[in-house]
Amino acid sequence: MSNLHKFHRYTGVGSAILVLILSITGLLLNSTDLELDQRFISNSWLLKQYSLGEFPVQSYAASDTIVSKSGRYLYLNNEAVSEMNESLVGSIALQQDILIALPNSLLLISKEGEVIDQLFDYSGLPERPQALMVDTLGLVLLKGQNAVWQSDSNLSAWQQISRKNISWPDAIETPSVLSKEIQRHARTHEISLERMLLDLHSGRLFGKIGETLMSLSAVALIFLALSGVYVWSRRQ
Amino acid sequence: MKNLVLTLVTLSFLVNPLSAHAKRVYLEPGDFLSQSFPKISPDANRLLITGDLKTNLRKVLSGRYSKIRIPYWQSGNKTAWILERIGKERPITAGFVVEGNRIVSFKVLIFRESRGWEIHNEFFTEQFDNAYLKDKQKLSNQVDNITGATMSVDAMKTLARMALLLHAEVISKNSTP
Repeated sequence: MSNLHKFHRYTGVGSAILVLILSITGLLLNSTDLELDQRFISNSWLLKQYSLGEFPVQSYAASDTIVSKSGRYLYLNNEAVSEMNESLVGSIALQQDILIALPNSLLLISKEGEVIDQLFDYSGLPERPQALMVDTLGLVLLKGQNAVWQSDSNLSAWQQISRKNISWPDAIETPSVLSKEIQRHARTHEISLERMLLDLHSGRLFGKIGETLMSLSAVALIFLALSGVYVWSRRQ
Repeated sequence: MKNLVLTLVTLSFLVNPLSAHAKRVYLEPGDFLSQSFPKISPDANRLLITGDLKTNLRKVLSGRYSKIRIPYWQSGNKTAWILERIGKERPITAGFVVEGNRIVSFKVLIFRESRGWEIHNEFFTEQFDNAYLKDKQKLSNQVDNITGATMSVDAMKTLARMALLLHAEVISKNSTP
């Protein structure tokens, strides 16, 4: 038996497990029907590999609803209603809906969590929000960087006002039970199964060592293919 | 043999299966609107998604749109729409200008997906020029797929149909006495 043949066999046995991982994760990642990006991992050991750290909860009161943001979600009380990457600037309860101020926009959502509208600077927002409140007439007041604005009842027209000494509502401390519930949800809905499989496929799940091992297993696979063909052709 | 192994090792390190989700702003929505209406700058109107429109929109989107009120800008028979749809994981923001029930301009404004950014190129967007809605809300123009960007391409085709549907609704509302 030639040295190459021996080396071919040892490489095959040595890289078997890694090549299996590479192939199985590759197969799964290729199956879009599985909707792996919509499933999340909740296993604490796996989550630990990502060093996610703390999930701070930021909350504002909107009448009897607590609007919170943690991880990549927006919550009404303990219900995740939408994905959102920006931090909260304020929130108020309107007659039927809730208006949430974000750094670049105002988000109007129903109390059931359905997004009704989002106002940006190009679609009617007069200035980037810094705070939000309702005045005694039930109209929305918006604090911008340079001025205070009052909206009409449809949030479609804004006029600058010169009212001073307004006490703008601050963020509230999230009640502890709610905070824990939100953090648990945010933590277990952060890393999708697709991301985890991709990281396993590339070896990144186990840092630099994993990456190197997976690269070597790919090299081993290439070597096996070439040496296999070579050994076979020599036998012929 | 030694050289071959070295080459393979180098190649394996060059292959990177991951690419980060980076937000690419190709055109600010405000700039898209100024380009679409160079002489006047119409205020944003809002179209409420209710009744038949809601039913038809559900058919086009195979589900509901993420918002109930949709902003639009109008000057005469020309309307502009800034719409969003998720290709695979993140929303893609696109701008459409519709006139005479045909798309006269389509731009990818903000792309947030990790793959498929090629759809912002002119060779892709110009396939929508003059597109209109045929029977059953199908798009009149044949739009070629881009390998590796199928979901983003599909999302843009859906948004084009949506813009045409919304435009028809606005124009028909305007003409109703």
